[in-house]
Amino acid sequence: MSVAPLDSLSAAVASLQQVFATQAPGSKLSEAEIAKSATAKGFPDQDLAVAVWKHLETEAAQVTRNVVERQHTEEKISKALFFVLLDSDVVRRKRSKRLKELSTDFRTVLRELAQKLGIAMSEIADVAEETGMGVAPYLVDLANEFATWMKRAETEG
Amino acid sequence: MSQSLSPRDYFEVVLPTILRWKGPAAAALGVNVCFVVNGKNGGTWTIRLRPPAAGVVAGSEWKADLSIKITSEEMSSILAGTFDARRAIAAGNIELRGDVSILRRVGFLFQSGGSEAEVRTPVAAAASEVKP
Repeated sequence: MSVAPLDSLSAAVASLQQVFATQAPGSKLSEAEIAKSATAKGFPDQDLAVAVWKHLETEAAQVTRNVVERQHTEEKISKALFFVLLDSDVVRRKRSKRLKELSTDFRTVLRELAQKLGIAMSEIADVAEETGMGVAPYLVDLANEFATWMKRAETEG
Repeated sequence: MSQSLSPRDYFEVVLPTILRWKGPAAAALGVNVCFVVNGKNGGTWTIRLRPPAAGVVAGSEWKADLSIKITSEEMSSILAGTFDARRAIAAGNIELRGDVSILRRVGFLFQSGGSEAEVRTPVAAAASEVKP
């Protein structure tokens, strides 16, 4: 499993963090300012940076509890980039080389996430086969169904 | 990035996307697998791997061929790549109910491919991914 795609996404998140993390949610950053500082920090695409900022601001606006919960932390920036890359007109519309690379890395990471679940399921299957795990409850279900059926048959004569 | 994903994000965002990419190959398995994740950001989701299209449904209303009860900590360790099945089962962090043989088939589905190219050629993808 490659490490590079995740590193590339982490670098993108780190560059956005430098732009966003110091800004309080709701602060009046213009789209032009975001675009300019994001590319200056090495983020691959201006429009994508703006889309992530808007996503973060929408999320922060929904949190009314306290200022800390509204902060744009690394985790929140990471998540926002994730959701924007997953389903955004920006990614569909623009196909600059760097955005294309980032999008490809993102898809690789998604595939790896699915593979991790697949590997885990296979490992669980190995242990289940060795130990008979899961079989017993299934047989208990069958036995219960049979008992219910017998009871109903007796009642109905 | 993957470390910041919760089980909820995984079942409600990542898996539906992956299943869309896999297209008919995923639906061809013809089974429902229910995940009950206990703990922080947990919940119950049923992965429907049946025609017309595979997907993830919140809750357990669909009859599951296999139910997997797992703690959210173990689910996180799966996503982080640090999962140890033997340890998790021994600790009682995973319980299975139903047809255990489904584990291997679904496991194989998730381990194989899953790209945009496969979405464009769903028949080829189905042929390459589904084993009898």
